[in-house]
Amino acid sequence: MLFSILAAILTVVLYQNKIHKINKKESENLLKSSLESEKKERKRIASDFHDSVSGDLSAVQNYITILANKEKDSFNKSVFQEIETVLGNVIENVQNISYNLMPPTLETLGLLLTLRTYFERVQKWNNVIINEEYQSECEKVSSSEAYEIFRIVQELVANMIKHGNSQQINFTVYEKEMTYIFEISDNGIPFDFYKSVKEPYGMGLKNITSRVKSINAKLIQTPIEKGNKIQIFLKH
Amino acid sequence: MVLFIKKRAFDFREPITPFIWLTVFATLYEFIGTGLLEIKTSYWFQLYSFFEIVTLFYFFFKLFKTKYKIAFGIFLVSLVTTYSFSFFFWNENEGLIPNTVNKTSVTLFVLTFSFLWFKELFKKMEIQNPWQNADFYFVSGFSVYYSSTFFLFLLASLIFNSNVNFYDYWLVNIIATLILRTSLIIGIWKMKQD
Repeated sequence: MLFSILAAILTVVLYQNKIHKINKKESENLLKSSLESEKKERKRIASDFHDSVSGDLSAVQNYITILANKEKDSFNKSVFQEIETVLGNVIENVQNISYNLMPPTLETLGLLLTLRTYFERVQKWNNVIINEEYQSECEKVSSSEAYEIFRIVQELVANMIKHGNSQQINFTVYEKEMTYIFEISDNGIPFDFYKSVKEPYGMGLKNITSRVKSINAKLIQTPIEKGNKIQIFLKH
Repeated sequence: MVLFIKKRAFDFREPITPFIWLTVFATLYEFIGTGLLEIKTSYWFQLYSFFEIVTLFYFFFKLFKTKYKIAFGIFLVSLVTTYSFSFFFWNENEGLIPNTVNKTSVTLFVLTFSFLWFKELFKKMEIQNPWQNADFYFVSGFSVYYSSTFFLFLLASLIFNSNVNFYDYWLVNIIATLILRTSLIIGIWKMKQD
């Protein structure tokens, strides 16, 4: 009797374990496909911005320049010049948005060059010093992994500047035991990644966790004396 | 009571309904017929076995809908044959041997289809949580009851006619019945939630 009761309980435990595995796999597939469609949509919007909106605005800017050069009236001329400057700013903003949505170099030049360009842009627009060290070429990182790594680094850097008021960020890439390690640290306000990710407002950190999971990587936060240190382990 | 409240007491689309009615009737009869009026149990054993076969067959047949029709056919023939065969051993004073004959075939039937139900459960993986599923409680209750009492019924006549105290062994049946009825109550409770 006891044996049959135990058998029934064991059956349910095994069944629930199997169901849990199936559900986990389904949610992983769902996550992958949603990240993939997000990537496609970003790419489409970025190319629309870059090719269409930015191109049209440049054409308008050219016409305004021609008009400004032909204009004799000094007041009208200054207005045209003002419009030209504003248009220049708008074009730059549109290009920035397009770049943030999908860096054009990611698929053509690879992850490391894209990261270099990205850090250059960050330093140009923010009061922060970024020290980069590339000890590995990351040649075995696939394009989809590269995209997710880029987004993770982008989100972490943005958070460090925005919420951590970081003045200095250190970024290192190296390889150890068939694993690429992307290490990012700063001297800003310390935060607990695992605790913050559970907060309802931590959407950016939740996205990081989803992206890490989607490429079967591992994220570890190591406590340091000042600031934060986060490592992403990606096996190849 | 729950089935009455849910207006499903006579809903025979529910595979378990006939067996529930049999359990209700058996409880009342055992109290009145055997306990108060002291009618010989041999009549009741034989009558109960018949209804037990019918209700359990109905339950599993409805549970599997259109599947395993050949297996059901084979078991129907064997159950009817063994039931008819049990009458050869029956007389007013001997209810245990026919009961053993009937219980053996019913146990085989219940364990076979319980196994097939669990097999289907793992194959389809449609039920999210078996603890919330009424059929799980019914099938588990049946398999626990029939596997626990199988040897007791098989040796019932031998134990009864030997010098040992039969009611010490009968305790197994009492505990198994308690488990079965608890499973039926939980199962009906889960049915109510559907």
